[in-house]
Amino acid sequence: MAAGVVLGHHGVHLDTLASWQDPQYGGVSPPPRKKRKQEDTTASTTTTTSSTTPQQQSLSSTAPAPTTSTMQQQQHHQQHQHSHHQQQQQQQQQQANGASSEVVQQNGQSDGGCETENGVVEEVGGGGGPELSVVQQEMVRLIGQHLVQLGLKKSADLLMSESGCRLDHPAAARFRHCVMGGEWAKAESALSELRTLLDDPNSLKEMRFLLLEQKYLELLESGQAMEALTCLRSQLTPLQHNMERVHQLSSLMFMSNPEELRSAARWSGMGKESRKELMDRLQHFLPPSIMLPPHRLETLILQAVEQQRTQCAYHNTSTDTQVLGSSGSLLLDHSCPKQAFPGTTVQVLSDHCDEVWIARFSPDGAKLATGSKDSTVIIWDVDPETLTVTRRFTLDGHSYGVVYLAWSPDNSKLIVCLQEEAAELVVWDTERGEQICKVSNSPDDSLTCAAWHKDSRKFVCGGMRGQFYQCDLEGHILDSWEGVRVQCLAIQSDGRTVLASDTHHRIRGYHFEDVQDHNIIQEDHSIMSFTLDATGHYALLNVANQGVHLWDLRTRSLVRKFRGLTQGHYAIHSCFGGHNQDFVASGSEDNKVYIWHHRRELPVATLSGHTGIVNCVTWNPRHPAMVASVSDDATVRIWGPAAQYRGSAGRSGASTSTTSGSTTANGRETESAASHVFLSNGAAV
Amino acid sequence: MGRIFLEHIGGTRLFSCATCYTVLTNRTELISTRFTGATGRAFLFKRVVNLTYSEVQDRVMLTGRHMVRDVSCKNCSAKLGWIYEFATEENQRYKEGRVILERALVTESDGFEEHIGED
Repeated sequence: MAAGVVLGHHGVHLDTLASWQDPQYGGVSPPPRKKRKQEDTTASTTTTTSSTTPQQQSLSSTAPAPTTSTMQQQQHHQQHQHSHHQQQQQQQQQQANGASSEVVQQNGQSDGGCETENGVVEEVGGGGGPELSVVQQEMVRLIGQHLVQLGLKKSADLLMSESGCRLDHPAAARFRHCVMGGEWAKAESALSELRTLLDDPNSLKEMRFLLLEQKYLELLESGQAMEALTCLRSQLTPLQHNMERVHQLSSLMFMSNPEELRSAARWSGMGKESRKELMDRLQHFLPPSIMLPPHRLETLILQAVEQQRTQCAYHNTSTDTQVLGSSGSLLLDHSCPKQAFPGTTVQVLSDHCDEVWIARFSPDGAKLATGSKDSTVIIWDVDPETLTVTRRFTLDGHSYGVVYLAWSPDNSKLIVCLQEEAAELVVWDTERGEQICKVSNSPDDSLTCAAWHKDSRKFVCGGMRGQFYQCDLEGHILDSWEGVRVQCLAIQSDGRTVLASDTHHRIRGYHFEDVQDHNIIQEDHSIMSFTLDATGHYALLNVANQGVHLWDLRTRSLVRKFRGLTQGHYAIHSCFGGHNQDFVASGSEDNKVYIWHHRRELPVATLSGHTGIVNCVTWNPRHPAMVASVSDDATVRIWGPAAQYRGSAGRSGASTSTTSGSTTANGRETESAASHVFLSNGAAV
Repeated sequence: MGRIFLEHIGGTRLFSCATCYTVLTNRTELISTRFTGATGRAFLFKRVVNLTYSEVQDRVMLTGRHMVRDVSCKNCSAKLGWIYEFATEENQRYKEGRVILERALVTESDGFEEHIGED
């Protein structure tokens, strides 16, 4: 039979594959198709003639008019002739992702089929669609894959036939079908068919290994130990690949329990899930022209969404970029509105009567502490609904102005550091407003900065006159390090390393236990202050006259210099903040608050309003839309989003494309009746 | 006006502002003691910190014509001396960038051995 000769032969099969197999594009470049067309017309004519006899029942009509149904059935034919598996192929057709994958063959066929109608067809695309460039064909394939995933198979088939593209290589589709169905022998034969199409011929062995591993595990789990043993001995071992894993597998023979087997083999168990995983792993070896990477269209779109998110300068919300649709509609580019970003004064609090030098939110974001030259510290409560503060109490009795504050990690205690002349520091209980202890060693001491240990029971403190102490909650000095003029302190997340910036323009790490220290950061100019981010991997330094520097502590390298602000004469403090610590904010000598996105050198926002030097900025760690700044004008300013974005519904910078039903960054889903506008002075308690 | 940020140059013998005791420089930075200022003896130092500078002025001194800036204490604004910016004569070039502190306006005190450590 002509058919047997022409098509039953593997060699010819591969030829026809190869003919439209452009090395890069897997058979979707127009020129070869012209040749193919001729070959296929001969092939198809023979098919139609030969196949009518045995396959009459499957053909509903052999009308020459190129209807889609005809083409599909002709395609079924082609399949039958190729692989000699009759019903299975039809099933494969219906089940496999690449159901309409033989479309390119169809081109020839359909042209052959519609020879009578079109004669010489100028459109090479076939199926009645326009001619497509390579990229356009790729896009069509992706759309087809997505449609199949959604369950819109008919549309996918129609798309494939009209465009003249194919989803997957027929052999790959067969292969996938065999794998998903657990027909290992057939999978192996399909695999050998694919051999010539693989980029790397060695990967064939790897793929066979994976197949056989899955087969072995499934046999073991279903209790067919003998077959499993045969598989191991006669199939896996001769491959001589990854023998270590083979040994592991052979040890599993003695597992009686499927759960044990699964955990020992790190395998998810027999069934669709593990086969799907296997298919995903195998797919890596196949070039995309053979088999499309899974979920490719979704992957591309997620990448685009991620790109938009990184470009968004005011992005201060939580969005899960791995889930389509979480950033809002795909119909518009994502960008957060500037008004949703904290840039408007929400409160101006004039409770202090002199320059305010330092402010810190507590780690849980529920309290704010501000310290002033007037030698008082005010503790404020944060109202999570309105993101405003109200005074709780004033801690006074200090002998000099307050230059530094440090909250304990458990939010209950506050260290108040005074000007150099004070020679002491005070630890307060912020719940009751009482002093816990003082550290006053000698009247020549200066203790102008401090940092807590993680357990909130010990802290370090130091100053410019060379004191560097480790103390406990009774004010006793446990340890002392000689010879360091400490300007700023922090304790790293490992709990052991004390970071201290000193007068030699550097930050060193000190281990009090084993009296070791090492250099971490070396700057060329004075480090006025520094702070660590929540993870402890990054440090933000205010460097005199040089802007704000971001350093990576692990690699000890400078990441970025933030510029635009003025500083050099007075001590200015900066902070990390915003959702995910994406932003950096600092005070400045030009009376403005500067906010940068951590990836950009120039500010995304400069907040005006203060009438004196802004000495310190602090960002609420729990509520990313709340920023507090303090200034020489004796006021504390609370900043937040513009009025229409305040209130629970629109809180924390909802982007234009999100609906109001989305979760806010605070994780609250309640809706408040109206948004409030706060411009009055803070309520005094 | 804000909390003035002060550097500390370190060293074992320190010179500080006589008014507010802000540490300015140390013995190792001393180049020469044979200078005279308005109040009498003056020292030439290589490097001095915590200063504020005036506008540059043209002055004729015993050693020639120089462009100088008056320096004051950053913390309390007390007059301390001057800094040479430009010397017209070649043999006076060594003074450029150096600071004169008048002996009467500074006090000497002890510092301590600073811990430098290895890297």
